[in-house]
Amino acid sequence: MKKALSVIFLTVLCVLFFGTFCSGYFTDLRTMFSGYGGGLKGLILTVMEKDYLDERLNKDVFRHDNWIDLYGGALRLTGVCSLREDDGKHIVRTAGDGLAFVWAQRRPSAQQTEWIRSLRKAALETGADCWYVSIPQKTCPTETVYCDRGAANHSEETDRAYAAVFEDAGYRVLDLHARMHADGLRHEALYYRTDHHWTDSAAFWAACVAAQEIGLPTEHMDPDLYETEVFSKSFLGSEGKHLGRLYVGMDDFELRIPRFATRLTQTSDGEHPRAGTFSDTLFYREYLTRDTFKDSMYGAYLGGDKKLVRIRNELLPRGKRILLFKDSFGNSMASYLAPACGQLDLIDPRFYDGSSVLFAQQGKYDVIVVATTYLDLGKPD
Amino acid sequence: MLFSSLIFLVMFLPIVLFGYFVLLRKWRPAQNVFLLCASLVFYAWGEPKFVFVMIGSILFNWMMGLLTDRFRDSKSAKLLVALDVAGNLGLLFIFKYLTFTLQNIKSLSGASFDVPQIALPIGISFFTFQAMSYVLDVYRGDGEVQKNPLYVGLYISLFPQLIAGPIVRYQTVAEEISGRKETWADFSEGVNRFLIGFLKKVLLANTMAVIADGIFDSTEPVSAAASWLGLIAYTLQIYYDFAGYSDMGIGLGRMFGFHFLENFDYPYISTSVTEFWRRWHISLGTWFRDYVYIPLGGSRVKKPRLVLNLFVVWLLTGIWHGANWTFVVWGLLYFVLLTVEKLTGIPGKLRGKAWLPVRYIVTMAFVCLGWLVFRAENLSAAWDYLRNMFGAGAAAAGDTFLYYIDNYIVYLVAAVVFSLPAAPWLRKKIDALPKAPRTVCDVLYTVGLIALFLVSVSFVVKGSYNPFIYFNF
Repeated sequence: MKKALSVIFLTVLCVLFFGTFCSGYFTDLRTMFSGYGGGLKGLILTVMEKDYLDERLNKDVFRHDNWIDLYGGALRLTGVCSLREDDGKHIVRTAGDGLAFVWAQRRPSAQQTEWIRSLRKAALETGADCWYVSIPQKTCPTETVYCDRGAANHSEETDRAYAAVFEDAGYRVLDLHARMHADGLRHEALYYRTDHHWTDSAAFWAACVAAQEIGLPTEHMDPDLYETEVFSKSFLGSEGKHLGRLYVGMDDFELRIPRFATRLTQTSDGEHPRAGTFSDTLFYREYLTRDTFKDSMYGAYLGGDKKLVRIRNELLPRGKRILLFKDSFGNSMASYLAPACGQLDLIDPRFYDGSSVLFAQQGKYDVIVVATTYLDLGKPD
Repeated sequence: MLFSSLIFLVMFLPIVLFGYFVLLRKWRPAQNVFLLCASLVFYAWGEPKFVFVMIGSILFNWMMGLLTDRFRDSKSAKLLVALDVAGNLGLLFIFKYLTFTLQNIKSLSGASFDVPQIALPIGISFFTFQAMSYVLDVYRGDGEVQKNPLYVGLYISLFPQLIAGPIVRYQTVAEEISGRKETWADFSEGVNRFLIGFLKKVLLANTMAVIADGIFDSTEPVSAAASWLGLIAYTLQIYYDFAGYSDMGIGLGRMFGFHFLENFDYPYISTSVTEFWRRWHISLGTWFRDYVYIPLGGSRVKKPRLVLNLFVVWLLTGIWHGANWTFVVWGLLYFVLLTVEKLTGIPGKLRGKAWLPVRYIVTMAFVCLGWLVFRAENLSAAWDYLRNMFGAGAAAAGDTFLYYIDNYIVYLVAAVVFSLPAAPWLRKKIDALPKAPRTVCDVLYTVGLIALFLVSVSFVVKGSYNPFIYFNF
């Protein structure tokens, strides 16, 4: 029987060796060899010291994604419910079979507070309304049960601390927590199970609530006016990618397509302007068929994260001009908000390299909305 | 390069197996040169400059072996052996202990000078001890002198045992260097052993490391329960880390026709400290026994001399593990324990089944205490950790204990079970079965082992935590 074992072992080694060479490793090696000009000795030293081959191998190994699936499956089978990654990320499984990042308790930093005040001041000077959208996190201590009893949940304290700073600075606060409870929604239901981005229906719901509160036209905010496209069991979010498809499975991904007439344009840095219907302008369908592990389907909204995006509604030229500070999960909400605005400008503070306060000051906006997570809030200008 | 890395498993091993068994089949000299080159590449991976230290050590010991053999019957032989030992220990001292020595001189004398930070060549303690073993065995007539420097190089640098042992004595493999015979049965046994070692390292040692490092290195205070858990996890980690690596080394050696001696024999079932050291890192224990303890007179001497002999051996054993006072204290702890056992004969006096649990608990308590000192950054950290285990530390924030229990209970239970001789017990039961059920069990074993191997590979691909304690020894 041990002979059979060694035959299987050798077969596995052969498959791994040839499979890996065929799945891109050889190309990587060729690129490395052709791009190096420091002689053979230098090349050998570089290769060995920089661990280049090791790093590439971990990415190029034959059937990489299936290995991650197997890893997640093994963790699930052995009852591991929490994962602390080398980069500091802590992912925990919830009793609802969702995955959530666990964050330490946060308090607004002096820099964030300063940015919040400066933006408010700029808005006052231009006469823009200033809103802060307090977004419910994926987990909540009174609602969510972590399978890992050692993980602490500080989401409520953090939410309250940030909302207080915005309130003090004179912002109008749209508390989605309260609306969520009033509408009978639960924290986890707002988000994809394998991701920290909210679902399409949650994004649509948030856009409806925001439009109502901010005073935007709401005639397009009827769910019946949209057709829902469902991509069954096809989305693996950021948390899910760490653990593969066998840990908690995959999510259904949805997109809402308006049945009513739309005509929009979208411009952003480094891209050709897009114009046409809602779907043609705001949805990047190529993301729906890309590699599950390497890309995110969430990029289907607005083509993913960009530092600055401008969406004009050609059918509502006199509509309100909105400036929305958002990060990646805001792309979905922004998409559904766009038909209700005349112009919607989106700034992602993680990537925007200019002065966002100055941008807000010069833009003559009717409304400025801050709807970013705490991590991405308030870069220094 | 680590055995539990993807580059070893996916690239290095297939290429070496192919080159050795297919390209150079039945051409022994070429196979040996190929294995030597592969071993040097294996060693150079990551830090190529240290391969020159290795080559220097090979040439020096090859030359000293020739000279020792030539002058074996003259008075110069002892001098040559002393020179060889001094050379090897000098190399070890420069790379491993010079910085530590200068730091201590500096702090004791209050002098002001820069202490050079010298990087440690991987596995230097292992290969210098093997190199010394070569010359000492030639001197004692326990092994034939090797005229071919490439073969001395192969003995010293052979990749299966290069980085973390087992410390292969020259006499063990002297004949196999040129006269070994690879068989399909040996290869299969080697694969089986390698796979078992791989599982021990990746699934058990690395998971125990997550717990142990998480608790020992925590910047927040941890609870007494978590401290106990951390120490138990470290006790299991170091066993599986090292025993797993030894298994892989022995298995790889077997694949290529080398028969290395065992390095571990279920040390955590020991009921005395003496027994523990007969079961733990056997190759190091026998090295010190044969090359230090017995030449000093062993135990057939008067009591004061016996104590001195034990002191020397355990001081050296402690220092061998690293340049830190924690290792010295760890070695001296065993000196005290073993001296007490030898002089009082306590374990022998406590015969009978009723005493076994007591002996076991006392032995494991001392072993764990030893690992606590071994693991700690310094003696003060070890003391603080010990106090914390008994509730004398600061109040703990958060529930680290629950976190690790909730996540790793399966791995903890498996680690405890397989540290006991559960597998041989099961094997014995299976062997006693009639043929049909025995075959079923064998098939299940094969399928299970391959399945667990694939799971382990998935852990490696994921890049999960993969430290190696003995890497720098």
